[in-house]
Amino acid sequence: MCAHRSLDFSFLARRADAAATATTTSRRVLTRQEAETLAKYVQTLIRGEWRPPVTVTSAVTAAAIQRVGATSQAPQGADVDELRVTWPTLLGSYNSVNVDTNVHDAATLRRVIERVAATQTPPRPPTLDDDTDADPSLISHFTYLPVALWHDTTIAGMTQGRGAALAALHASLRGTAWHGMGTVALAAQSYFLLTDDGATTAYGEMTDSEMSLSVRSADGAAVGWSSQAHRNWQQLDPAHVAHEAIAAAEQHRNPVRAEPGRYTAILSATAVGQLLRAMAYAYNVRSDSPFNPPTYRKLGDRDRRGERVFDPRITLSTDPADPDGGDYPFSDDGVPSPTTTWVAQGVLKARSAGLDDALPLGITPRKNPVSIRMQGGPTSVDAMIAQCERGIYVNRFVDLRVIDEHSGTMSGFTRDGCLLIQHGKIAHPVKDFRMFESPFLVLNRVAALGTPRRVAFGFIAPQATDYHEHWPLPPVIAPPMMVTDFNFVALADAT
Amino acid sequence: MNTSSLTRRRFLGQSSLTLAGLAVAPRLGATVAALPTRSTRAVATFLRPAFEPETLRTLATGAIDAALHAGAEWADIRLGDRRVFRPGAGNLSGELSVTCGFGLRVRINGVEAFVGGIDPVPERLRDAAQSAVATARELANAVSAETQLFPLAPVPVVTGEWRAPIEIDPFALSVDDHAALLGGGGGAHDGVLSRWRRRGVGIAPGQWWEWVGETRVFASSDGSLLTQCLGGVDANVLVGKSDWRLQRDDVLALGVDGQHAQTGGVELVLRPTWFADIEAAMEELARYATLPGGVLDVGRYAVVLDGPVHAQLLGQTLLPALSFNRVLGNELDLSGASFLAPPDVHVGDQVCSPLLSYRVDGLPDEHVPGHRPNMYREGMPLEGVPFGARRWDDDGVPTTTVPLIERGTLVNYLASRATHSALATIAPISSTSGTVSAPLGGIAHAELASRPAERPPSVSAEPASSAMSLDDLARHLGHGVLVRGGTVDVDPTGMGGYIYKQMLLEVRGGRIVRRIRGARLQFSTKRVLRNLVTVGDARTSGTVLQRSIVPGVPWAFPQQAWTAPAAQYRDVDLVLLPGFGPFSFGA
Repeated sequence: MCAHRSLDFSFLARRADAAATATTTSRRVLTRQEAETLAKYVQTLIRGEWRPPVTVTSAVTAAAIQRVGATSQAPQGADVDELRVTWPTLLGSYNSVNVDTNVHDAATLRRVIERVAATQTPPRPPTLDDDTDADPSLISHFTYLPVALWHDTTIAGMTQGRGAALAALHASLRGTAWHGMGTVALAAQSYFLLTDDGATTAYGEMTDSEMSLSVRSADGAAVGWSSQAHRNWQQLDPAHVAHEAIAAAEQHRNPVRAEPGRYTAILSATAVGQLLRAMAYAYNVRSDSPFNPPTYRKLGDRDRRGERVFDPRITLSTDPADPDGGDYPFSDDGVPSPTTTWVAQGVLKARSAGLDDALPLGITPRKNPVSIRMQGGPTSVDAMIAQCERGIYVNRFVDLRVIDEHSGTMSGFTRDGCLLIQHGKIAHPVKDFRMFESPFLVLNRVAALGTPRRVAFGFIAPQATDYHEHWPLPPVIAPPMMVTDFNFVALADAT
Repeated sequence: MNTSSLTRRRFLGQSSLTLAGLAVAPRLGATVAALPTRSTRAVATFLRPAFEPETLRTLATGAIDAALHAGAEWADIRLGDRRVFRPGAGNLSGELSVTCGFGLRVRINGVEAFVGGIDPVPERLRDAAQSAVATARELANAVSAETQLFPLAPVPVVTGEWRAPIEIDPFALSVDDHAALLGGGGGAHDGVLSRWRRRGVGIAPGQWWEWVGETRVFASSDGSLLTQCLGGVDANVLVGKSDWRLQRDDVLALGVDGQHAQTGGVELVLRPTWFADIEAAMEELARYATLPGGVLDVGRYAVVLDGPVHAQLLGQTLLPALSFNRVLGNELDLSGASFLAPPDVHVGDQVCSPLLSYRVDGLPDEHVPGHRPNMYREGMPLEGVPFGARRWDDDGVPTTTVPLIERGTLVNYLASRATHSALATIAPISSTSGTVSAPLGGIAHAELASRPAERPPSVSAEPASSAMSLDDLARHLGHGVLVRGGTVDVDPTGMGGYIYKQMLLEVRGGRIVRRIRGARLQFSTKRVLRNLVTVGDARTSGTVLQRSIVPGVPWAFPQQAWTAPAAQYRDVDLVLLPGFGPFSFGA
C-alpha cells in the first residue's frame, strides 16, 4: 500500500488546468504514462485475491452551434471533460462498476477508490467457461498494429477553431436568403487498459472532428445538408461544406410527393455508410443474422463463411491504420483488432467474436466492424444519374434501425428530401419516404459504385432508447452506390 | 415479512430515524453500491450523500464568483447530487447510487458557453468557470454585424428552499423493509396464479421500483440562490407470461394500472389498492392469454391506445415540436425543424383534434408555500404530485401550469430564458391577437452536468370529464384494435413512428376476440394527431418516465414524466412484421 507514495499524480492537476487555461499546447487527455500510473495505483488499492483489469478513459469534447444566415444568432458552446476509471466487481446482478471522477489529487482519488471498494464485493478471479478452452496466458502475448489517430491540430482547434469555423459557415450564407444552422465539434480521447497480471497494457489515443451545416429557405420548402468529418481538424473546409449544403438546398426547392414503391436508388456515400454501420451486428458469431444459414442453431454450427453473400463488386474491410479513418487496434478488453477483410468480392470471409467465443471456434477474435471500409468503383454520381431510367437519389437516412435481425430488415426515413430521376436526368425534388429494406439484399442488387470517402454522419440525436451512441462515431468509408428495387414503402409524412 | 405488518404507522415511526453521524462522503462523480439481500440497516447508511445542502450552496456561489472574476458578464449554475435506490428482490441485491454533477453557463456579449462536469469540487468549478469564459471569448469570432444578440429574459431574483412532500423517506427504511414491500402480497397472488396455472396459463408479476432523491442548488449572478430537495418513485409492475421477453410477435405482458411515477415517499405504495391493482392486471392478462391468436389484414383501423402508450405518443411527437428553441431553428442541424412552427403554424391555430389539451404540470397549490392545503382522503392527497415536481425550474423561475394545447389549439410554446427574447423575431407568431405566447415557468429542465433545455419534468394530457373507461373505449370501437402496453418510437425529426412490443387485441362488435400476431402499428405524426376521436376519463390515465432527447454535442437525456388518458384514434396503419422462416440471399 506504499506504492502510491512514489507515484506522481501532478498530471491530474495539469489536465484540469489545461481545460481552464485553454492553451493550444495542452494535451487535454492522459498520456500513456499518466494513464498507466493511474491504473496501477487503482489496482493496488483494490481488495481481494485477484487484481482485476483496470481501464482508464480520458475524453474531452468541445462543440459549438450557431444559427447562421439570414437570421444569425449568437453561438453557443458546450464542453464536456471526463476521466473514467473502470474495473469489474460484483455488484448485484451487474459485473462492472464505473467510477467517474475529475478529482485531481492523489489523496482524494485514494478516498474515492477506497470508498467504492468498501461497498463492493471483492472481485473473484475469472473462471473458464465450460465451453471454452481459452488459455488466459494468451492475453499476455498480444501485440497491436501501429496506428496514427492523433492530430495536435485538432487539439488546437478546440481552443482557437470553433468561432472561426462558425464564422466561415456564416460568411458563405451572408447576403443570401438562406437560414441555416452550423455545428462544429472536436474530440480527443485516450484509452488505457491494464490487465489483471499488471504486466500487459494497451493504449490508444485519437482525435476527431466534424462540421455540418443545414440550410433551409424561409418557408421551409427547400432544405439542404452537408457535413465533413476528419480526425485532423485542419482538413475540414467550412466553405466547401456551406457550398454543398446550399447546392443541395437549391436542388430541393418545392418537393412534390412521389408514389411509394420500389425504385432504383442512388444512395449517397453517407446513406451507404449508414446502412453499413447498421449491419455491423450481423458479423458477430452470436448474432441472429443473415450470415447464419437456416440450419444454424448454436455457436459452432456451420455459418456462411465461404459463401457468396453479396454482389461480386462488394469488398468490405477494416484496418485500424486506415488513413481515412482508423480505430483503436484493440477491443475494450485488449484483444487485438487485426486488419480484416470481412467480404471479398461478395464472399463472406470473416466473422467477429470475443475471445471466449473465438478460441473454441478456432477463429481470430475480432470486434464488430463498426468502423469499416467499402471498396468503390469507377462510376460517379453524375454517371449513375445519366444511366438511370427512373430512380430516387437519397442524401441520407434518419431513424435507421434493425427491426428483424434474422433478415436484417431495417426501417427508417430518408431525410432532407430526395430527387426523382427520370430518363437520365434529375426531374424534380420529392418529399421524404419511409424505407423498409434489408441491406443484405440491397448489396445483391448493386448496379454501380463510386469513389469511397469518409462519411460524416452528422449530429442527429440517437433514439430515446439508445444511450450508447455518442458522437463521434467510429469512421466509415463508403462510396455512393446505385441499386435496383429499393423499397420506398410509404411517404414519410403522408396526409 | 407479513404484509399486514407493513402499516403506514410503522413506517411513519421508522421515518423518524435520523442519519446522524454520517460524515460527508468523498466527492464522487458517481458511486454505486450493492446492498445485501438482508439487512436491518437503513438504505442511506450504505452510501452516504455526497454533499450537504449548505456545502452545495457554498460551492454554487463560489463558482458564480469565479466566473465573474474570470470576466463573465452573467453566469448561472446548477449543481447537486442525486441518489437512486433500486430495491432487490429474492436473491438479487439492491443497488444504491449517488451521482454528482454541475452545469455552469456564462455569457459575454451575448455569446453563451456551457461547461458540465461530474465532480463539483472548488478547484474543478474554478477551472470550469475559466474554461467557459475562454470559450465564450473565442466564439465571439463568430459574431458579426448581422448576428442577433438576444438578452436573457428578465426574471425576479429569488432565494429560498423547498422540499418535496415526502411523508416516509424511502432512504430511511431498511433493506428488509423494502424487500417486504416488494414481495408483500405475494401470498395473496398465489390464489390467482394457481387458478390460472390449472387452466394452462402461466403468468407471473415482475416489479422494479426506483426511489429517487435529489438535492439541487441553483445560483445566478443575478442574485438568485435556491435549494430544492426532490424525491419520488418510479414504480413499474408488469405481469406477463414467463417467456414474454423472448416474444417478438405475440407479446403477452401488461403494465399494472396505478403503478406509475410520482413525487412522494413510501406512503405512495402503501395505498390499499396497490396489490389489488396487481391482481386485476393478472386476471386481465390471463384472459388475454386464453384468446386465440391470428393475423389481421394490413390496413387502417380504429385503434384504442391505453394511457401509457398514448402518453408516449404525445410526449415524443408534440413536446419536441413545441420547444421554442426548435421553432427558432436552433436544432435544424440536430433533430430538425418543428412541424408546429411559423409560417405553417401559428399560435392560435387548430393543430390537432379538439379533444386534446396538453399542458406543463405546475406544482399543485397545496405544495406551494402560503397556500392552504386541500382536504386529504385516507391520508393521501386528492391529486398526486407529478414526478420531478419542483418549486423553481432550472432557470430559477417559479413553476406554474402552462397550457400548451387547449382543445386542439396551439396556445403556447415552451420557452426558456435564453429563447424567450427571440419571440419578437418570429413574426407573426400568433394568428389571433398578435401577442407572443411562451410563458416561463417550469420549462427549463436539465440533468446535472447538462445544459437546461425546454423539456419540463412533467407534462400531461387532460382526460375526459365524463365517464369513459378503457372498456368503454373498446366497446365503442366496433371493429378495431386495442393496444395494451408497448413502446412508441418516433424518429428524431418527429415525422412518424411506430408502436411495437405491445399486445394488439382485435375488437369486433365491441368484444375482444383474439390477439393479433406478427403486426405493429405505424403512424405519421401530423395525421395521427388530427385523428383523435375519443379520450378516456381520469381512471384510464397512465404515466411513463421517459428520457427525452435534447440534441446537441453531447446529447442529453433529461427524465420527464408523461401522463395521458387512454384514447381512440381512427385510421392508424397496421403493418406486418417481417416474415419468419429461413432467410435467403437474392443473388
